Amino acid sequence: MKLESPRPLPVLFEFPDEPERLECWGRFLSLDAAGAVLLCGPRVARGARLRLRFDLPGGERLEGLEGDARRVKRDADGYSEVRLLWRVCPARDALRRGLLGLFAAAV
Amino acid sequence: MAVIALVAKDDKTRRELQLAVEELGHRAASACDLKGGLELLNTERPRVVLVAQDPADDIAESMLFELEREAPLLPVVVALTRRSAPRALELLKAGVHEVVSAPFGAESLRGSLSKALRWRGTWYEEPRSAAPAEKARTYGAWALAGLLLLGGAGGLTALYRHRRLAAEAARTAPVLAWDLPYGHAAGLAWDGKELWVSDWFSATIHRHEPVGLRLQSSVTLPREVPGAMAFAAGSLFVASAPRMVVKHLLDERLSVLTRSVDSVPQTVGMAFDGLYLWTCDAKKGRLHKRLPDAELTVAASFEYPGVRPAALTFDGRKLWSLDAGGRELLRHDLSDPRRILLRLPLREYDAGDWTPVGLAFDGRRFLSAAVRRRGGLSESRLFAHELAPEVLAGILKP
Repeated sequence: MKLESPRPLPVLFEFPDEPERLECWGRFLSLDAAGAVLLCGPRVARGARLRLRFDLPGGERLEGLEGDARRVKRDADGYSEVRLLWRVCPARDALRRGLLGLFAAAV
Repeated sequence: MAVIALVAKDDKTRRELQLAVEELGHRAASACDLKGGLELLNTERPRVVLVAQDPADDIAESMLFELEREAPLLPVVVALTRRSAPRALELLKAGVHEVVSAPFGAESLRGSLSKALRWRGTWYEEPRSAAPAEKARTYGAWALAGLLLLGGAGGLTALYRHRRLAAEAARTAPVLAWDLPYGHAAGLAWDGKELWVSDWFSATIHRHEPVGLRLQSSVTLPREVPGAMAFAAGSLFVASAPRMVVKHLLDERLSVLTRSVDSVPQTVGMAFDGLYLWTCDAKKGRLHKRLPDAELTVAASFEYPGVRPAALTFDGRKLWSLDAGGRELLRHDLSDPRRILLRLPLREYDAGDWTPVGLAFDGRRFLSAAVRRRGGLSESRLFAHELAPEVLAGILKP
């Protein structure tokens, strides 16, 4: 089952392996318990580790969610479309619970 | 070229942004404050609002608040004069489409403006017992071990895994499509009980039952080349090439009531809203509001707000069009169809091999007819586009 939000979900992210890079922002094109597709202006290298911070619809804040950039492609507008796979961390379980809550509220 | 409303308090920033917008081939309509910016909504009908502000200011939030009433789907791009990621997130959460930071130039604005002109939401996917991507990771480790231990046997394991994931993906996203037994579908209409499909090549109108799409009956119209169709005032209007609109009685033979010369031809879509007959012209990119009289008098004509219209339908409250260029459904305001109230992407058309030709709404989902050419052969297919419950509830809410 899939839900489409009327507005894209914004997200802040940083590169733990590249501390010199500033914190960036983007938005999710899709989000699930295993990974996400992130759309952002800054360039992201394939294999990069990202640490994300965002609020799920409903207000639950997720911090410290880490994912690996498994696929990266630049779209026609010059944006990076990054396929992320979550690393095992407490925030991933919180995301799973948050998504279940989201669908439970929608049904 | 699109009109971009530009709101910037500071003259220098406004000039910089105006130059960048114009360099990108758009027209910038400028204002120095919120009030001026809101006036631009009515006078210029912009497709994007670009607001320049310091992170400490709240012009963008005020603009969003006002737009909630005036134009809730109009994307707002904020140009921050100082970079601040937390402030950018706040603005994005408030509903801003994109945030860019100084220095401003055509290059830094190109992507964000282009995106804002074609924006989408986020898809959330329900968690399952084991998501395919997670399985991929686990299976990948097993396949590697298999390769080390069994050499060539690992290749077979990987092949098995690939097929299994493909089958799983197919199960989780079922394709709701039916191949039609004729190859030149040209129009689609829903009469409340059955689905009507016109086929221009055989000059026939086919009636299908709603469940399973079984063919119920067919009527051949030897003097017509039927295309777009709409039910209106107890009769069936059919656009017929080269430039005719034929009104049929709803009897067994679809007897002809009137034949009119289409004064605004190239009609590819048709829908009746209970009072007016709406038609669309794909070639000129226009929507026509017409009286259902003998001459189909054009009461008003509007520029199509999408890329290329392919079909029209009416959901009982609003007009919908299928934008073949943007591969999405657009819901239009009846008083001014240039105003888009909702966009629904059509992923079935993402691959680009099917060309949509007809659209209908059966009260709970959209149906579209499409054709595909392969060599000298033409195939027709009917797609059902299911709606998320909250979207359907929003559409049907009085």
